[in-house]
Amino acid sequence: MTLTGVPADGPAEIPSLSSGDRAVGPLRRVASELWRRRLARVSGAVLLMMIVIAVLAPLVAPDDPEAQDLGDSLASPSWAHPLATDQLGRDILSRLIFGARLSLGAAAIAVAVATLLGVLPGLVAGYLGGWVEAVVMRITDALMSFPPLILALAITGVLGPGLGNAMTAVGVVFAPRFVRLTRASVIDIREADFVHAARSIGVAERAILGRHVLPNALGPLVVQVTVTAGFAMLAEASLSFLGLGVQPPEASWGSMIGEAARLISRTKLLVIWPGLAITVTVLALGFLGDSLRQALGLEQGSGDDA
Amino acid sequence: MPEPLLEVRDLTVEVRAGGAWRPVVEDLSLDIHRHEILGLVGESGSGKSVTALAVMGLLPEGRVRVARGEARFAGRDLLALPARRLNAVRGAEIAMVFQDPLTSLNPLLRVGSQVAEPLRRHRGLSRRAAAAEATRWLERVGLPEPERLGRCYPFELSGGMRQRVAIATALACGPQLLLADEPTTALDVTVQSEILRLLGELQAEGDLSIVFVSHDLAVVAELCDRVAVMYAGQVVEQAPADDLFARPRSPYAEGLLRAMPRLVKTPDSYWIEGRPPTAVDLARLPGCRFAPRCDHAVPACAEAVPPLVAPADRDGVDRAVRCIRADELRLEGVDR
Amino acid sequence: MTPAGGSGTGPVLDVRGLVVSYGAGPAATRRPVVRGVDLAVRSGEVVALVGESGSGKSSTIRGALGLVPVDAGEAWIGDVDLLAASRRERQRLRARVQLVFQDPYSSLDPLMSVADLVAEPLRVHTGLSRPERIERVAGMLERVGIGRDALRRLPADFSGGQRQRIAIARALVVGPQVLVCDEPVSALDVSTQNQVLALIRSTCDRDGVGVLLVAHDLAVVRQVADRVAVMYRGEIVEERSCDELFDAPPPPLHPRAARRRAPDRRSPCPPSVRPRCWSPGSAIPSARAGTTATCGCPTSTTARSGASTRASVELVRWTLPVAVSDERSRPRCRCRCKH
Repeated sequence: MTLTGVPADGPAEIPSLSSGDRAVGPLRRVASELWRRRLARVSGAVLLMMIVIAVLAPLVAPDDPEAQDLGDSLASPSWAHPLATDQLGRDILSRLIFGARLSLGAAAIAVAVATLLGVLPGLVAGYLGGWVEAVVMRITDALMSFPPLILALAITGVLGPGLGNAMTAVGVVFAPRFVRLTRASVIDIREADFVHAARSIGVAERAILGRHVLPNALGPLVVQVTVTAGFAMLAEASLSFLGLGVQPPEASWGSMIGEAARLISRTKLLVIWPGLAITVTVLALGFLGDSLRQALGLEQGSGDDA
Repeated sequence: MPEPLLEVRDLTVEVRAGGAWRPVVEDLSLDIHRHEILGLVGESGSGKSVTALAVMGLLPEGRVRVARGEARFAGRDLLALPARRLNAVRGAEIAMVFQDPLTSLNPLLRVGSQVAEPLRRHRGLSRRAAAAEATRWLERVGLPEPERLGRCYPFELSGGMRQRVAIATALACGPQLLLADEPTTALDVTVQSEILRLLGELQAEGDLSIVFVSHDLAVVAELCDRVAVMYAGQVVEQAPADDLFARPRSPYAEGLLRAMPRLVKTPDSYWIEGRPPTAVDLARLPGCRFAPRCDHAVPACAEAVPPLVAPADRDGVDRAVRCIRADELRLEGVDR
Repeated sequence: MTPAGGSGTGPVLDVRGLVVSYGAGPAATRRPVVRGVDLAVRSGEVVALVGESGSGKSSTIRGALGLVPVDAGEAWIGDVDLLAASRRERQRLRARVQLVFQDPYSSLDPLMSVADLVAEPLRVHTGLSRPERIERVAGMLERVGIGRDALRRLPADFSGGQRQRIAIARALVVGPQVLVCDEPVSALDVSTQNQVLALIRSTCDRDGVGVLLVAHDLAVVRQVADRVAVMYRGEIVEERSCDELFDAPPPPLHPRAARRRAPDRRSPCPPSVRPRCWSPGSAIPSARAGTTATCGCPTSTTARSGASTRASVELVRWTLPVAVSDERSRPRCRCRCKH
């Protein structure tokens, strides 16, 4: 019996319309969940702004970051130099803007290395189990047992100085976390009914891994990526502070802190700006990761309310 | 008529869905009397579990909230109690048993100490006294070798045994009201009937009332004195169990009765077409919420939500039904 | 979509001597869960495998379908033994046997659209192009009562009953000869169980698919099955037609509804649920030395017949196997049931 204004129901059923009338894929759902959270919007905007500034640095920065003006060294903030100048008269603001390129780029390198080195072994270890899993996990354990900074230093020592090498080393240091996380996710998923279902349909094992297991394991990984990016920035800062990462005259936020720390007796201001930049970026990454986790958690926990 | 043990009035629980707060339980009113077993029946999504959780103050924070309403128990409004005082009530006066005994028991604690925990907390018993009492309760709920089993961990027990432990834990301090949220749904049919039998015995011999939440009318039939049928967050029918089964007054209750699987082969099996509306769907349903799926609906049904009232010819029986056609429809019941 | 192999000639699924055990280590230390099960399903018939949890029903079907390692046994799908087949052959055989799982909330990949989910068997086993696959999928979805607009949706949009029907659509789309359902309605609301059961029954009747259905609820079995096999502790202890099991002429006592407040422990056990005709307390007949005999007597049951409610249906409850060591010392049945 159909009544006007009331959804009809016959042989073709109308499934529940949870978010609008159009069918939306999982990616869009997560994105819309994310969009609803103010924290995610704010952090996302901040990060986006950072990236845009870094990319457009030559257009945005008021001065050449390497232009020295010794007569103006350690000047107070002014209209010409809103964030003051350093000991060589270079404009801090411009250095900060160009530094964003290095700092963000460094984090990206580290995360890329960590992901590439970590996800595949974790996937294989989690899915195959047995001796493969044992071997992979013992290597992972060995890597994790090194104090992280020492390991990074050691690898950098082998590869040679320079930001790229330093961040590759950091990536290697973070890779074990990705291995573990991927493995744990895969172990969780491989017992799920839909994996058994795929097997009973006759899907080949490799296809099960690629089409069913990996996509479902990505969720926690994406969150880990944002968190790791934050840590990578801090690692870069530490290494550059120690003089192992960025080489002068280039400047990343970390090396700027290093330089400023040596001048702390003469001026306290210089340390603040790069420190603030790092803090804000790492916080934004962390909050974004948190919001992502919530958005994805909802995705997996859907079902009936009562 | 003595005062009810628990009076729920105009309870409204809202959930954050689709960008707004939407009700999953709306203006719900229920009474539970002493020495009574009330069945709360409905499909998934009807709000029955949410109701029980709201009364106990166990709703998850954040996405769910009690918008209004009160739940008066022994003179106090549970929904308005501060956390500390509510904690004193929970376990000692009202207790709850959940659907999945695997997750409702702490996997890291031995079973005996879990039963002893409320005894120590609420009655202040010493460790030894609580352990002894716990053992007595394990025996009371039908577990063999209670001393030995008390030292086991939950994973060592079967599902039915775990649920017995959960019941023992809930009843250890002698509460007057037990909320059972689908306690047998996760169990085998054979074990189900044992648990139901146990609950019936415990209720009969003590001063206990039970609210039994379930989606299975047949299970409710076996145990309950009165039944309240919920649909889409509202009570649509309330009646003594015998009367409900003999002659339901709401089309939804009739549908549920007809849909029950039987031991006798029925020539045409029946099910209710369609699915219950979600919280978001409800925004587009101004009238009776069951109307889209109802065999007896008329255009007037879509205009406004029918009120929950007593039907005209109820023969002195305490019934209520939410259907504008309740008086004219002759609906079929089943023989219990 | 009638399966090749004809109807009524031989069983479409023939399991022989299946042994499955769990645990690591040598065979002696493992826990046997399925001990030598023989089961056959013919085309166009529904066989129900019932038993308590832990009786080995799920392990039986997973073992028979090669989803878990088996210690011994054969599983003939038509004329090929799946358990002895090479990996490639097994892959191909999968087109003939499809599985429907118990939990509709985890048996569908949450990230795949309904169209891709249901089309997956077609993708694996046929060479159809994508538009052709989608067409078949749409047709199958309609048959199970899900509209076309479901194609682009995700499983999360659907209720349990709807998901289970999507799972059935996925199982049937490739035209299998055998459909194995592992407790297909246990996770569903009682009000929608019948819909899924009716769908399974119609599949069997219409397409001649042989159905093996695992269940723990006799009422479910009653609606759908032709034959019932009862499992207990890894063995099939009873197998008979559904009608016989339920409608065998009962003695004059009619089962009465258990009283609500104090369930009556002494309510009579309807012999129709009793598979063997021993009365408790009597000697177990025809037990030979060195064999194990099982006394079968239900504990108190509240099964009801007639038009009454299903309520708590008791399966046959078996006491422990009793070893007969000596012809002279015949053991007695120790059931608690008092008639």
